[in-house]
Parts: sequence; C-alpha cells; structure tokens
Amino acid sequence: MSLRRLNAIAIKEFIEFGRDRLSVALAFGLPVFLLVIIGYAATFDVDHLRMAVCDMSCTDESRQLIAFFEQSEYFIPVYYTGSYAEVVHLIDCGKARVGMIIEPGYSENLHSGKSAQVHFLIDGQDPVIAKTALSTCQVLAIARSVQINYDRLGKTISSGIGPFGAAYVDLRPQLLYNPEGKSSNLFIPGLIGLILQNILTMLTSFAMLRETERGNFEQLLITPVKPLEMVLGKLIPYLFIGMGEYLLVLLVGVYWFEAKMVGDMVTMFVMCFFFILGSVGLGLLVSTIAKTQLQAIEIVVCILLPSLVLSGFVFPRDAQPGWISFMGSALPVTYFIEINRGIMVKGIGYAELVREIAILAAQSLVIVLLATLRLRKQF
Amino acid sequence: MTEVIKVENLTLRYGNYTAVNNISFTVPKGIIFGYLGPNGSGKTSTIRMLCGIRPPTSGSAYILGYNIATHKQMVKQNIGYMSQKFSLYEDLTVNENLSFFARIYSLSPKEENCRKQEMIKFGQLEGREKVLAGNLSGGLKQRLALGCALIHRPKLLYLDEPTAGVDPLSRKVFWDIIKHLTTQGVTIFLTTHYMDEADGCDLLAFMYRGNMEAFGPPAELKQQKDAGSLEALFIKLVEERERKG
Ligand SMILES: Nc1ncnc2c1ncn2[C@@H]1O[C@H](COP(=O)(O)OP(=O)(O)OP(=O)(O)O)[C@@H](O)[C@H]1O
Ligand SMILES: [Mg+2]
Repeated sequence: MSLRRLNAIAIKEFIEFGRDRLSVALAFGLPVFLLVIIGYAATFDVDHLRMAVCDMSCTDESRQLIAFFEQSEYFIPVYYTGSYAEVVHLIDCGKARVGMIIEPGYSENLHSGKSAQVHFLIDGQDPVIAKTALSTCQVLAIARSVQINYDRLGKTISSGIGPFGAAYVDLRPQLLYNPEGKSSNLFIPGLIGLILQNILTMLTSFAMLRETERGNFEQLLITPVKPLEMVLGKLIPYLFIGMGEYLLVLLVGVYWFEAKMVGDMVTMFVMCFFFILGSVGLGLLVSTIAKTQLQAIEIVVCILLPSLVLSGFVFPRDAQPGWISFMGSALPVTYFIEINRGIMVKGIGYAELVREIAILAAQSLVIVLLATLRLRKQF
Repeated sequence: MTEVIKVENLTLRYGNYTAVNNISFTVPKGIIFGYLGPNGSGKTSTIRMLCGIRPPTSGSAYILGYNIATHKQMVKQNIGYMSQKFSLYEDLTVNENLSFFARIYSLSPKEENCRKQEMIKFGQLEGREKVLAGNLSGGLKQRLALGCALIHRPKLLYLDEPTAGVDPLSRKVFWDIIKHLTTQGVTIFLTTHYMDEADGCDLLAFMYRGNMEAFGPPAELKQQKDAGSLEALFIKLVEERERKG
C-alpha cells in the first residue's frame, strides 16, 4: 500500500465532493434541516385539540364545564354553534377534532342530583389522537363530577337542606369514523400520496434529463418546437400514467390492506388529477434544476424526507408548532393526504373539501407554471 | 436570392470571454461551406447563433433572408442540424425516430410516409426500420441522424463534426450523400477537423480564437498564402496571428 496513492485518492475525493454543491448541501444542510423539523414536528403528545361546542343549556354550570375542559389544555373550544349537526359538520371538514354537545336540561339535572348528559364527539380518523382524546375526556368528566358533588356536599351541610344523591356529568363519548381505530385507515391514504408524489416526480424528471443527457434536447431546440408544446407533451402522458398508478395503489390499499373507502370517487379523482399534475410538474421543475438524473434523485430525496415529516403522514399536524405546520402547508401532498383521508375514511365530499381542493389545484398550477417559465429560458 | 447565410459583425460573449468576435461573411446557395478551426475557436458557438438558439451579443445574421433574432420560427423550419453526438432517441426504432422528427416539423401523414421511405433508402438503412437506434453501428447512426435532420427538406443543413468517430468507408458514403444534396440546392454548413474533408468544400472559413482569419475557396486560399496544403496554410495563419499578438 502506498500512502502517496492513498493520499491522491482521498484528496481527489474531497475536491470532487466540495465542487458538487448539491452533495455538500445534501451532506450538511439536509441533516440539520431534518433534525430541526423532525425535532419540532415529531410529537405524539396530542393536546390543544380544537373543540366545537354546542351549549344548549347556556347556564353557569354548562359554561363551567366548558371552562373546565379548556383549563385542561387538552381541548380548546374554538367554535360555538347552535346545533348537533353543525358540530358534526365542523368535525367533518376538519375545523374541529372533537365536539361537545351539552343537553338543555344539564344544569337542572345537576341541581336535582341526577346525571346530566353531555355528548362528546371525537374525530376517529387518527387513532393516536382519538385514543388520547377518548381517555382524556372521560377523566375530565369524572373529575368534574367529583368537583360538583364536593361543592354540593359543602352547600348541603352548611344549609342543612337539599337533595342527596349523586349528581354527575354523564359524558357519552362517540368516535366518528374509523370506530375500530384501525391505523391502516390512517396510513393507506397518506402512503398513497407520498408514493405517487415521489415516483411521479422522479419519473418525469428522469424523462426530461434523459433527453438533456443524450443531446436530444439540444436537437429539439433547433426544431420549431415551442416550450408549451414540450411541457404539455411531457405532462399529458405522465398524467395518464399517474392516474393509472393511483388506481393501482388505491385498489391494493383497499382490497389488500382493507383500508376504508366510503367516500365519493368522483371528488377523489378530481382532486387526484390536480395532485398528479403537481407531482409531474414538480418533476419538470426538478429537471430544470438538476443537470443529471443522479442529481434529480438527490433533489427528490430532499423533497421526500421533509414530506414524510411535515405532511401529517406520521405526526399529527394538530400537535405541531405554527411554523412547522406552515411549512407543511406549502406541500401539495399535505392537502392530498388531508383530502384523501377525508374522502376514504370520513366519507366527506366536494362540499367539505372545496377549500383544500382549491389550494391543491392552485399549488399544482403554480408548480407547472414555474416549470414552464424555467424551461422557456432554455429555449 | 442566392445568399443563404448573411452574417454582419456577429459577436458572442460568455461573460467576459469572447467566443465569436465580430465576424462577417456570406454563403451562397447550394455549396458546401467548411467552417474550420482548432478546438474552442468558436465554431459550435457560431452554429448555435445561426440556428436561433443562442442570441448573439451583438451583430446580426440572416438565414434565407430571415433575421435570426426576429424570425426564429421561420429560421428553425428551414434548417436541419446534426450534432457530433448524433442526438437520436436510442430507445426508439429507426422508423420511430424518423416519424418523430417528421411530426415535429408538422409534415402531413402522407408526406411523412413518403419522406421516411426516401430517408431510409437514402441513408442505406433498408431492412433496419425496426432496429432500435441505440443498437445501430456508428456509421448507420450517423446516417439516421442525417435522415432525421433532412426529413423536412431543409434548405440549409448544419453538420457539426459529422464524421468524428466514423470509419473511413462510412465517411466516404456520407460525403457522397452530402455532395448529392448540394445538387438539389441544399446548402451545407460543416465543421470538421479533417483536412481532406476541408479540401472537398467549395468555400472555407478559418476561425482562430473567435476571429475569422481566412475566408475563400480552398484553392484560392492556398494560392494567396503560397501554401502547399491546407494544413500548411493554417499553421502559417496561426503563426502570423501569434506574431501580431
Ligand atoms: N455555455 C458556455 N459558457 C461559457 N463558455 C462557453 C460556453 N460554450 C462554449 N464556451 C467557450 O467558448 C469557446 C468556444 O466554444 P465552441 O464550442 O464554440 O468551440 P468549437 O470551435 O466548437 O470547439 P470544438 O472544436 O472543440 O468543438 C470555448 O473556449 C468554450 O470553452
Ligand atoms: Mg464544437
């Protein structure tokens, strides 16, 4: 073994590494970035769940119950509505995770030492959130019951009169959707999104860069081909391929893994079209940045890892700090997962998802536009 | 109009580096124009400008009367280009490659079929229609690339080092083909490092460091500088230039 030769190889390697800016970024930038976002995003401790409240009692007692739940910091009342149906609707569209409905006779029942019914609805789509919410709300109801009885006992003793018998908050929790708490219901819709995004982005950027690497692209530049023809000519075949791929993974998810599929297929395909458009567009965009197919893989990895963390696929977005969740909102896959879960698990449709679908469509169009503009520069 | 190419004070800079420095010339119709010069002298850069894919830093050029800056589409529709790399789709067959370029140039289906037959015959590719371009030998690849570049009957054909890496026999076949093309009124703009090929051109330009050092028919150039061969002539030109600094 010659040290001189060894030295030559090692030094050459350092030089090559240092000149490849993308590799340097991948080696040092990505780990720090991932550590930071995962550090903040990775938490299964679910608290501050958004709660929709329908207080049909409207008494001091009912307001105390709401305040009691709020003080726990597990549930934050963010919506006050007038009906049971509106609470369900708020959970349907994902604006609230849980809902509390206090019956009209709540405070009278408590005064007369009877049980007072409270309905507690929980979004069961994410089993982790659902389990925490379920046990927490029950504990809170018991604690509140004890507190009420303690107060009543004090009053009774001091005044010497009053009805005995235990008054308690009869909290009836109910899991909406996915009552079995199956995690495949949660993971399959998300997995489909991540798989599609990354495979399509990779395929499309490869198709573009293959042409660049082999000189086909230069040859095309000499012909009357226009940038838009080039972009659409690439987009259309991969849109079809993507839709076929989607159908395939969906079938495997539903029939093999028995993921729930209760929603409206038409809405699903409309939204999927936009998502696939965005993923293919992202591939085109990547191909305008990368110089070789290998660099494209590096860039796709840089997109895939944050997508895993930020999209709500693994870690519930409810529990993430604002800026992490904001970064997640920049990714089309975040909305895709939300929509796909909504349709497959909750069975909601166009009406509840119109905002998410609009955002997804806008993101995809912006990506395609950016790719077209960048490609046009090369013409 | 007999001027196929008309170049006026054309300059191209990459940043501070001048790749093409203020060149002017005209090329008449139906001849083989040899564009010569050592590596890095600005040949490919000139071709890219004259194809309309690289805007010149200054100066102007007209291809078949169309300004390269303002009538790019007309320029592109009337030129053919074959790069040194024979940029074919290697995973498409001979037939599919020809079809692709025929459609890119908006040939009608009837024309497409007719031109494909002609190109296959012309490039001596009979019987290989269904072979993948990637599996062809170097000489055949070159002729297929030529077929793709000619499918839309361009009036001007750029050939950037078309014979690099091709065996002598294939080179001869290739030259017979392009000579035949000029009889049909096609003008050929060709770069090469082979002096025997340069001798076969009707008109020559010699580039050195982005400057055009000589322009004229080969025999005339040799006579002017009193050089026995083109090789001797070019060495003379370079030395003269170096002395001037
Ligand atoms: N995109 C670019 N950016 C910067 N410099 C470039 C670029 N393209 C070419 N050059 C430089 O411009 C000069 C002329 O290049 P050009 O490709 O025109 O030479 P050439 O005559 O075709 O050479 P060869 O015989 O090697 O093909 C070279 O020095 C090259 O390094
Ligand atoms: Mg060159």
